[in-house]
Amino acid sequence: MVKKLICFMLLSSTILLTSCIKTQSIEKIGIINAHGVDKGDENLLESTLIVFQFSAQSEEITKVVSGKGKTIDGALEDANHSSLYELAPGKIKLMLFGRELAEQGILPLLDSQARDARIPDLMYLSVSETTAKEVLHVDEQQISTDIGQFLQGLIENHSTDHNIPRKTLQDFLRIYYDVGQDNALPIVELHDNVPKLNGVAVFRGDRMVGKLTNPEIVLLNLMQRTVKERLVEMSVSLEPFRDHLEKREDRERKDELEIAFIIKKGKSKTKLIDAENLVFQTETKMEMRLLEQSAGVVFKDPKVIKILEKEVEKNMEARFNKLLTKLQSLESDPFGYGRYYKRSEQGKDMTNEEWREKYPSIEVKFKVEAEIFRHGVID
Amino acid sequence: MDINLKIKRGNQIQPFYLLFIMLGIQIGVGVLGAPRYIFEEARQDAWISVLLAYLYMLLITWIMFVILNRYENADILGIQVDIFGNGIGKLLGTGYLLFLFCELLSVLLTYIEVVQIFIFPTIPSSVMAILLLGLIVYSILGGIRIVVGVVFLFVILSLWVFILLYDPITRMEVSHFLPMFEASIPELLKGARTTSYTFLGLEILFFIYPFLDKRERNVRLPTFLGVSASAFIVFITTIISIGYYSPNDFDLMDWPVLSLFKSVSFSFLERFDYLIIAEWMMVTIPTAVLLMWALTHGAKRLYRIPKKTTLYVVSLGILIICTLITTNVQIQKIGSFVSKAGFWIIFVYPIVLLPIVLLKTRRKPSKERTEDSG
Repeated sequence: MVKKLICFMLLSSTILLTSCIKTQSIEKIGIINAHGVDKGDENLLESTLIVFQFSAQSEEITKVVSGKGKTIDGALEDANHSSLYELAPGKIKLMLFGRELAEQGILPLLDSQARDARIPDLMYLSVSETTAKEVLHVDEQQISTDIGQFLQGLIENHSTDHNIPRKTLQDFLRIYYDVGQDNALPIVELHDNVPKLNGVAVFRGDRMVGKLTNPEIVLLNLMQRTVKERLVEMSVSLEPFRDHLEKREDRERKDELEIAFIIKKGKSKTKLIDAENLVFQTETKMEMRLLEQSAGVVFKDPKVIKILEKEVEKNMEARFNKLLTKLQSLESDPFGYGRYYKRSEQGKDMTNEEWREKYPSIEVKFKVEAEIFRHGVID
Repeated sequence: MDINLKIKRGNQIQPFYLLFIMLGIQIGVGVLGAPRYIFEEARQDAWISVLLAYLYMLLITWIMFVILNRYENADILGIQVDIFGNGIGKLLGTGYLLFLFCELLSVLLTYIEVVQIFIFPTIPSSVMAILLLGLIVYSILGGIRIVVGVVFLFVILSLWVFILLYDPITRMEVSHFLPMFEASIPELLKGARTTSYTFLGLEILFFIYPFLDKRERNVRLPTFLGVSASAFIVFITTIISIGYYSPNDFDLMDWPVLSLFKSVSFSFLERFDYLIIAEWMMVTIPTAVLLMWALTHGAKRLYRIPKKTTLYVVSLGILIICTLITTNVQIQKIGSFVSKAGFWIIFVYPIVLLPIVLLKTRRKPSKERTEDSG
């Protein structure tokens, strides 16, 4: 009898005690999907939130709310006042920073995101070319879905294709704290009222210092991982191909040959070859498929392909060098050469400050090996 | 007080279960934070520290077996009384039990804190404590065989969570491990020492040994396997954590292993970490149940206090303390106290005990000890 009583009490307590927890039914909470942060007036932060609300009364499930505060959480709290239901941060998929704010440094804003256990580590970070508010307020008719999901999908799809680096909160923090590498976040901008991924923001520490254009991102990606199925355009000098041109009537011969090809597979290997003088070597191997060329070069002769490969290699090497010079002047190291230096005997105790001093003077020997193994169905 | 125990056949346990008992008591809340503390001492070579700790743990387990085999069927409480006499022996036994109490308290406090931080910030500690203690009391009331059954089932039902770590594995950064073998020997040893909180629980062997069914069966193998399995889990989580977190960020994480699960996401379940924390109750309960069982059993051995009395008094005490202690700082203090005390009691004390036991038991005529066997 006593045993039964105890059992009953235990069982009933498991049911009754559940009411000690705050009830959160899905109709009564606003689920934040995207979070934009801008610099507001008087040093306040301005948060713009895309919120899902599954209430029976309204047709629209997404809603934009905004709030202001000194801290991110303060701004969220302020936004809460204009929302009918309590805002839940558990499913934030995207965080968008206004450019002005990104240039001032975003680490203070990430502290609350990393500290709060309810906030997912897998949310993507990105930078808006103008303000986050402007991007998030875009007319939903134009994109036929809500903006939060649109941007998240944009980043997700494009990063699977390796067009842009995809950075989650955890990735950003890891790279920030790691010595010898800097972050790069995708930039979103409005183009005819439709958000578009345009370039990458490079960071020095937690401050955005510059922007890479889409063609430059390919180089960044080639450095960091294996790039597959990525289109590259370039123009090379037509001079070496003079003897192998198709006979075409009345055609003005240009000096430049415009070509487009797909990198079927490309990856790089970097090593430190001289730790004293900070000389690195990066070897990039690319397998390519030719898609288009402007001048009617005939590829019957294998020699022509060899010439083209040489030209592509030269062009790519020049591009790498140009990009490195640009990044060195920005003092940002998204390639992560510092990591290779840190692995060496001299660099093992290096701090980020020391690498900042060394970085502008490093020298990198880029070697590109291009291999064209398809040129379509015509010679 | 009898030094050796006579256990009824119906209360005996198959030695095979030792595998699960060791795994169940060692893998608890400790593993959630362990990699960080090891990393603080040994940096990127933390994994070597875990290996060192593992080797040392094997040695201690072997020593424990040597001590236990010197007696017919004794536990640590009986052995202490045999060696140091009734007064000091019981005093030491009481100290041992107090330590087990602190350990149990620390385990429950930590788990409650994790739940409050990750899932229910508003839930009162007392409610969580009542729920957990309810489960513990219920298992203990069933006796030793139920306790072992609970441990066996919960260990089997909870081990799968470690499979999910495949996701952070794919995000590891190899350069975090370089340069290797940088840590000095003292640093490695210090790192190994910080594992003591995770590897606490080895002492259960000293309590449960008399209950094992020792006829023609190997008792050592399952114990060593259990210890190896829990060391392997700590080893793997340490390696993954080093690769996953930046070295400058890592020592700021409270529960690095729990945060590893934050990166696991499926299309049908966005936040897997919530499930993991709920599931972690299954990892915590075996630890708590075994400790509570050792407490009740020990109090009965030492002072003939009925098991139920100890059970209810201890539960009430824990409930009250859980309600009073709520800040993170206090919980961490208790944790570090248990970690330090545990290091001496579990990982050093057996080495001190060994020569004394060997000397003492040698003086006894061997037939006296074998007399009542059979």
